[in-house]
Amino acid sequence: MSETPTLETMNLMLARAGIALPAAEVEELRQHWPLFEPMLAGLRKPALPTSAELAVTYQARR
Amino acid sequence: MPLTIAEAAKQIAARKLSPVELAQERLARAEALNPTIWAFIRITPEPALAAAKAAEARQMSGSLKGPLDGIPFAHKDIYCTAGIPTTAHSAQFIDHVPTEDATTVKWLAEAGVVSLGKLATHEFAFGGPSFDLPWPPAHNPWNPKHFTAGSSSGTGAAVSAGIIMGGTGSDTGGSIRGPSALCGIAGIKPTYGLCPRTGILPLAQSLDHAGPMARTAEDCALLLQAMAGHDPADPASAQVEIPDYTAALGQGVKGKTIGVVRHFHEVDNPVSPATLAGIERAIAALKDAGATVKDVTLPSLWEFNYAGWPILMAEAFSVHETRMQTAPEKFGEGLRHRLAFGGLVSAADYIGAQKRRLELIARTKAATEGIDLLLTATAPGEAPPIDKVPKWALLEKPGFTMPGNILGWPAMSVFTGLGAGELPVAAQIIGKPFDDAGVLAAGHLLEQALGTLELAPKI
Repeated sequence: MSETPTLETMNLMLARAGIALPAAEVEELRQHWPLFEPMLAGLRKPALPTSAELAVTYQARR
Repeated sequence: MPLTIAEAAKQIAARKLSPVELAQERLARAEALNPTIWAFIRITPEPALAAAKAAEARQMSGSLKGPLDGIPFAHKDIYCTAGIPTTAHSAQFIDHVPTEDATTVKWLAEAGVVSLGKLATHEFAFGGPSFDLPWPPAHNPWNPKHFTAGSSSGTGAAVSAGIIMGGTGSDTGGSIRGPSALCGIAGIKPTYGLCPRTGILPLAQSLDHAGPMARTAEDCALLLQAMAGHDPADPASAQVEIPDYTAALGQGVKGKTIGVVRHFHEVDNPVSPATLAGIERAIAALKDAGATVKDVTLPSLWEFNYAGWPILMAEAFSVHETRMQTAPEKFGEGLRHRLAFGGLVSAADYIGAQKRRLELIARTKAATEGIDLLLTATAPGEAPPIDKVPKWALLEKPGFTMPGNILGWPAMSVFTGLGAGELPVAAQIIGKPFDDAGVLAAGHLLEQALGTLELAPKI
């Protein structure tokens, strides 16, 4: 479980996305951010970009 | 027992069942039950009866279009319908009246289905149940105090209640299979790209799938036949030969190898005793039918969900970014908060999630070499009370359906029995890409073996 961000940090993150919400809703998002943030953190395992990477585009045709 | 599409089609072909009388009966049932289960956002008697009369004219002239002609049906309210509001169950789109049908709406109409109206959904196919939207959420016909799951909640409720014989759903993280499981019906998320999404309001384009829901696997096969095909207007639409799904139902599972992903439902997210018992009965039935069954280890459910939710939320935010920035109050709170999290996914995290997705696909392909079908749970247990669904449940435990969306492989929910609360429990069959026919055949076999076709809600 990651840490709950400060109110200032939460407001800053939302502002960067252009989202303005009532204070009570920002507080709820702040309290629940530790449920979501680990998903993002799990995607950031450091790796050396030394090998060819998989294409990002999903291929529907086989 | 409510009639199935297959049974009704035989009676219509034999002129023993009038499409007009059938539509009238089902419209009356929709009006009577909707104040209890809220499956419909909008009931449309006039176009329904016009379509039923046209079907009856074809019946009497011996020119029926096929097994779907005259069948009571309805569309999830994210499927665009020309001249009929398509709201996504949202105040944002309350006045949205499309000028064109979605491709699949058009194809199903060409096959003769009689649409009775538009069905409830979680707002823009994400979140819910929500009680602050212009319409109430759908309630479960097995016990209207309980949840349907979603987001194809109205389709699950209306099919289960015997109002419609089939309906459309969409599945981005489990939205066909979840309500199919909790409402005790069949629903298949086809292979990614098999059914075009043109004209369906998007949630997250790289995960969105269109597909059918009905009482049985056989009915799903009949509906998939009409919904599958190439549409150049959908960039993800696959160009593959469409098999005869109904004919393939008889192939069974003899000689096939079934991989049971036991760690999904016993370790990663342990299921209820009734759900586990249903899976074990399914394993026994598959063995009896000549399949080889063995355990298989895949990446954990958590890994699939950790890649899936950031992708889904970020893509959903990209769809609704302007609305979130200019009129967030017109979303229900549940969707508004999920979209807000989507706005906090960085570009690097989104790309990282898509890379992780490709790694998961590669690892799953390697782990399933020599395996034809996978078996696990669809949901952890029976439907919870609708007023006790945790708002952030999707982030608290890993869902069983996200792997199918990450992989793009066909996956179906099969009704396996009733739990301690007399509510449905289900298993999930997952197939290899474009083996939708094999998935449906296994589902058909299990429905016969488990006897769940004899069960229906007393409503």
